[in-house]
Amino acid sequence: MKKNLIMFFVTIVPLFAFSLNTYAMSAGYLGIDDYTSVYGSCSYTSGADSPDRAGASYVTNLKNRISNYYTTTYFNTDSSVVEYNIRNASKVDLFVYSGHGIALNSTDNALHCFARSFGNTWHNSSMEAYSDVNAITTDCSFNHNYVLTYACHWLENGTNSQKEANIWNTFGGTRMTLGYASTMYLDSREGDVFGQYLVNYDYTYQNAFWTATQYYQVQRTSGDTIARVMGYQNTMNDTMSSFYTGTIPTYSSSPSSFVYYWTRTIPHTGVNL
Amino acid sequence: MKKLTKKHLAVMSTAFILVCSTIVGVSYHNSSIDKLPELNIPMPGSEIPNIDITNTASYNDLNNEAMVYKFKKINNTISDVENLTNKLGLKGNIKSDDASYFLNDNTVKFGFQKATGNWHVYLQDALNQKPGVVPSEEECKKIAIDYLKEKGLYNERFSNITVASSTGGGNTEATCTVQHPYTHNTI
Repeated sequence: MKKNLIMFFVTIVPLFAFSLNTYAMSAGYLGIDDYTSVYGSCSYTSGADSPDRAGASYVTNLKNRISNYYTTTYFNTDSSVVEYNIRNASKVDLFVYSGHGIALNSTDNALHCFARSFGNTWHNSSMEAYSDVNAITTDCSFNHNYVLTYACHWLENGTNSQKEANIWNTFGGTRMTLGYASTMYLDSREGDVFGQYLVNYDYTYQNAFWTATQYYQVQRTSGDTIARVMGYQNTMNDTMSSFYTGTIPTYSSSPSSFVYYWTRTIPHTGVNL
Repeated sequence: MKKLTKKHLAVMSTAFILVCSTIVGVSYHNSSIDKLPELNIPMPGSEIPNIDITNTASYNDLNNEAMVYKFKKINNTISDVENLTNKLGLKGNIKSDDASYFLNDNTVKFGFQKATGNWHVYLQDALNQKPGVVPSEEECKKIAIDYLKEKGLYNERFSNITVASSTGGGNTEATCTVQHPYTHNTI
């Protein structure tokens, strides 16, 4: 019996030790490429550009790069991404949305879907402000550990204190949100590069994001991209393998412990990479 | 010797005309190629030309597609990267995976993307420095250029350096302060 117990521990302990060294993180991805249909099309464009964006391709590239480390809890693209699912997404370590983001009005920003939550799988220019295509800041309280909004405007406050408070109130247990305070350039290749630095080289989340985005965002033909990371002050140096282990408060319960990590302008060149 | 018949003459004339037209066609084709404008790639900082091309020629007999310019894919080798890290004064073994060459420890993070040649280096000592007096924009440019010259990396491509600031640290955007300026070369 004693011998069996010893054998049991000899077998189990190394397995347990191994599991401690394996990062069992989870990720949820929502990405939209298609904003056009034969029934109607979204009107958010850039100049003569099609409203289509490579959001689904971005999350695909990111997932492919990090899936050995982050198990995929959900992966929805195009018309499977609706505002209801954004607001009610189950908690994951890394939550990623990529598609259109809009400065909806003076107090709210929105992650802007093409499909309506409870209706058509499309919308047209007369429906841009509909609540069932916009996951707005005041309706979102995320408890994911890390939120990446690879979309325009989500972190842009427009110097309006109410809009800024609404952005902060999306931190319902979130350690940090990485995103943009301006229009941005959606390049699906950036997902792969962000993933590389996050999992292959163990950069901090914020530094992996900066390393990737400073390279690709220069491609805008006019206007500079403003990248931004905001979050709980103790989680600033979190990496995939080394992170703050204390409890993360909601913003509303501890506003003074949340800070702007940084805001950085990336000058545009208009040259495609 | 056979006498040339009218039939022979007709065949020979047709052949002669065909040969002549081929020669003329080829020389015309070659002279058209000679008239192609020079490849004018905008230099750093210069405006991208607004090209307006009107096609007046008939291309009925040409292929639908033709190669105009070919971009060479440069394969950066490990020795190229070692040359770069030596110039930067980085110590340690460079590792490699499918995407990058990299050097990563507690003091430095260096990454070189194989597909694009894009590289970066973060020096932990520099990042740990507390914000002091922020240099002026011109001083920032000079610091950046002097550093590149000192490392033997400066060339004419660094001719369009812009300066921006990283701000942060506040609970509101209004209370954020400049953490450090950074230079960006818009090649």
